[in-house]
Amino acid sequence: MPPPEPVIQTRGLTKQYKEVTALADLDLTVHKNSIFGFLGPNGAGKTTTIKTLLGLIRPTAGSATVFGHDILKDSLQIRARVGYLPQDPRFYDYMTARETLDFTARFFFKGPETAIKDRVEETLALVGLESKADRPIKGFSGGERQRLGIGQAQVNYPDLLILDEPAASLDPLGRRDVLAVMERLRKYATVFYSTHILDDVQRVGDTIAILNNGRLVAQGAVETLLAGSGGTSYAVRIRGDVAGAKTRLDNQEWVLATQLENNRDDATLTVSVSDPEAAEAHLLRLLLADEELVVKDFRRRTYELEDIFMEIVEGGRHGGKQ
Amino acid sequence: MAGNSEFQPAANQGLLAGFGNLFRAEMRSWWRTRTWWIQTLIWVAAVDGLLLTIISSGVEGGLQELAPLYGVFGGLFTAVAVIIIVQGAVVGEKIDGTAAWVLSKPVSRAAFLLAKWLGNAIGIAVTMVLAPGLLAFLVFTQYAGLTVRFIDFAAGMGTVLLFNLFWLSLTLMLGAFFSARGAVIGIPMALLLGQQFFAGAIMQLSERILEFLPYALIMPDTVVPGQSLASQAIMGTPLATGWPIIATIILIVALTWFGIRRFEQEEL
Repeated sequence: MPPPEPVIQTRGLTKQYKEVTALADLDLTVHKNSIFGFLGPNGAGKTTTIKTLLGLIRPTAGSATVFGHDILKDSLQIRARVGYLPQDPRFYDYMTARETLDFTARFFFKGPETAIKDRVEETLALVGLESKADRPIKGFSGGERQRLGIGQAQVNYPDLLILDEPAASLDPLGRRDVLAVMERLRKYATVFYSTHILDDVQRVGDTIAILNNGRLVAQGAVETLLAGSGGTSYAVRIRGDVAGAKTRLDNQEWVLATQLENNRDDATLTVSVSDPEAAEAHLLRLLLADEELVVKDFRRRTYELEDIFMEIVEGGRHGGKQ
Repeated sequence: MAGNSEFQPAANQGLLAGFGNLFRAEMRSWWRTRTWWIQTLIWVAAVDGLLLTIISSGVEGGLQELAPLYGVFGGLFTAVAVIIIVQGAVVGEKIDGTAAWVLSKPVSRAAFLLAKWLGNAIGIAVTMVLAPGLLAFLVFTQYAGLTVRFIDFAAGMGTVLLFNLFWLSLTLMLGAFFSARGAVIGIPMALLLGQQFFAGAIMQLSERILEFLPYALIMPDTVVPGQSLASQAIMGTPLATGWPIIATIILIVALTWFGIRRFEQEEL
């Protein structure tokens, strides 16, 4: 099967502000109909990348295309097919939510009137703002503004939805709704979004890229990154001669490392292993060989995106691209 | 776009992409909010109230004395308000992020600035020039009993409007250049309120330079003793020179063009 068509492609994209490198040599590929999570700590260059793709910022070097159009030469053509939610969405205070959606829709559609009005109503319902539709935005809370932001970003049926921190300032229900919108849109559109909420990426994202200090440090399918995250480990909660247990495990060939963490009335021993089969066959037996030792809990530890993210950002072993 | 086959796509290419929608939004900000009646009330009260007070006091009675006063009240005072109202139009949106939001849509930067220019120009024309101007015409003809042809008075109002449009263009251009409100409001305010000083300094160099500046439109004694171009128009006397009008129009076009060029480079 041919690889899916790239919607976003950047080559050596760089943005320099005097002494500060906001974005360094970014090579990014986002495929059609993917939900692409763009991760990184504050100041990593996520918003700079997004704004550059939208023509709001000019790159210092490199190039990028969206739908095959050059971001510098064909910005209007690109923006005609994109929906964008800014990080801290701000709208005209004198407009109501309904007027804001109507205003946004009319950049893309000139008619028919009834279809535009229906689309606005549909969007108000989608983001749960029907009851506040005719209230001036001036009085909106952060969460309500965020909902309106998500609504306006998709009112034009975009082929590419770019969301900068979409779940910021939303309560858990709002977050759930945003993720549902993203999943629903996957059929029709590509979703490119930046976030700090790694759990959300793991739930709905299929591909991720991690930026740190303006550089791309990892990119790939979520499963690939999770699978290649440094082997298997087990967490065991024990009480008794924990130091002896640790020594016994350290002497095993298949044990890569052990880490002991003391709790109030027991300890957690994290055991990283090179051979999960050997571990499953012998680990528990070795521990239970000491009759005085009480094993309170034993489980295989699964790597979470957060572990990978922390490892990469803190300069762990994921130094290069995946 | 996905799933939108029933829609007619907007023409979103070219220099003026998005202009119509932005212009309607600007009009809405003037006419669907309290702005229009507050401004109308202020300028009717200020311009016509002052004229009525002066006429009632009997200090200035003839058209030769009153016409220049209309130019000063209707042009100089409103220009201060134009600068204050318009100072946030571009720089305010740059700071609060609404410009970045709007320009993430298929909108050209020229359309963004021109919609602001036209929307504000209409708002200023109606609430700050037309409304107080029409009432001033009634004050002159009905209250003071002066003979003034409406067409001449309208020409005087046009001159006052042109003066205000210059300050609108300058302030919008500065909004495109700067990222802080201080410079956007401070520079035009200094040029406007310090014009007597600047005019004096310019006259040291050459009196003819004043003919190429907007001051002559409303300030008496700039090119004609005791009169401004606005007052000459109101009195129906031939204009001493047309250069301030031509120069102001050229300056308005140039400032707007510079503003657009600068705004096209702006990073939001």
